[in-house]
Amino acid sequence: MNIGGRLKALRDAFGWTLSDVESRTNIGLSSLSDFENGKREPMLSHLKKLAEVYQKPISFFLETGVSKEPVLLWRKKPEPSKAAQLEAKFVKLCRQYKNLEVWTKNPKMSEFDQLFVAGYPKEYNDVRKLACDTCKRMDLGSRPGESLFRVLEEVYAVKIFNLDLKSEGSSACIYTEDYGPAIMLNRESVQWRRNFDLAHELFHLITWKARADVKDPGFLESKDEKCANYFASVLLMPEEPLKEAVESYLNEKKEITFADLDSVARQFGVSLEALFWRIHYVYGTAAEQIEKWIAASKMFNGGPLRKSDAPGDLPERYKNLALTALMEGLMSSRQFANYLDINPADVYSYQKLGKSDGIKIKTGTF
Amino acid sequence: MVSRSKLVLFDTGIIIQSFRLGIWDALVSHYHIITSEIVVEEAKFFMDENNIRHPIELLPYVASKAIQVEDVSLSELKVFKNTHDPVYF
Repeated sequence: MNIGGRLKALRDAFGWTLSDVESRTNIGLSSLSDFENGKREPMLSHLKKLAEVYQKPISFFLETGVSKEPVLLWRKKPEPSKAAQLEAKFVKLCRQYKNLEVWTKNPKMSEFDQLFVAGYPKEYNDVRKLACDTCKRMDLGSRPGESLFRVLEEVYAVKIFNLDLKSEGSSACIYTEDYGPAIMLNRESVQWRRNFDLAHELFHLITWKARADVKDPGFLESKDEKCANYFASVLLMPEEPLKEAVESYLNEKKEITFADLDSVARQFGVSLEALFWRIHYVYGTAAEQIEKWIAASKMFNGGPLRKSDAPGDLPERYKNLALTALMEGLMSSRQFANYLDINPADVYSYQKLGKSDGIKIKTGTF
Repeated sequence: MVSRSKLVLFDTGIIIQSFRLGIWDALVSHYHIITSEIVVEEAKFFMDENNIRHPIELLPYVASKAIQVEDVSLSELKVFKNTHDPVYF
């Protein structure tokens, strides 16, 4: 496909008119039309603006073969044009993150390959066992919700981005040989929802290579999603620590209040509703009873007393790798600005920041 | 104007730093500076020591031909891509 065809295909996928592209790039309508129709070739300055709005590297427009886009697994896919825009942005961020890792020779430890499973779990019991094994293998401790994000990002080099999905999607994941494992979360979701989505996407990532024996690698069946939810539930709320926590609140009559259950939910970094469904599996409480409790507990679930953090635009590890690359001369200040989505003039304040870090400690002295 | 002998190619970061250090006009008078359309669009501000933004106006330098601005055609870009490390893209 030539450059005109690629430009048109992207504009169609994004659901944009030529006027939409004009307003985003300041390139005139007639020029844009000529580029798409092959009547005129864009100059580099045009191509750079088009690459930015379509979230593609410039090299994408110079290729002539059929482009094979990586397949994302969405938990709840937004409408097609919004999905295309989000996927383009996410893949671009993954590409940049991978570049930073390569340039800075980081991660020095990346053990994600060891988490892949050989065969796709067939029954819920297999899922439960997988969750327990994964929790142990990753050394997440008795409150995995507290450590899952950090361990995934810093130890397993999973690229985790919180993007503005608004109400149109919750999470997605991707694994490619080029970029490794990556997860997209919804920045608008509360922290305990993002925790659950993270664990849910982890299931899809560690079963990614086993999906060859599943109907269609890009398609999630309802049972896949139920397995992922069950995996997340078992991973985040391991049975013994959970029972210990719940039973520590029981009074003489073996009763527990909603407020105390909300405390338990906070300990494990999950919603009250997620806790109730875990109780269903751990204690065998009937589903109908669980649904009644959930309905009655709405005032506690994520109410005004429970605070959620607002995640940053870019992962801390990504920003640190970029700063390292800048300070070690592995990337230009302009590229740094592009990667952090800041004005080139603002790079100076980061360069001042990086100058203070020159301390090296020899092992054996502490 | 002093005769400008050397030809130099400036990227965005260099131009911003030159303005920040107050040496831009000296550089323009001593060197034949070439830059790209993209750089002219990007070099809009510099930050001083107190993190205050100051505008950069390159268009007067372009209009008076004190600096030369070039753009690259697609065919030239393809030649570059075929003869250089893909990391540049």
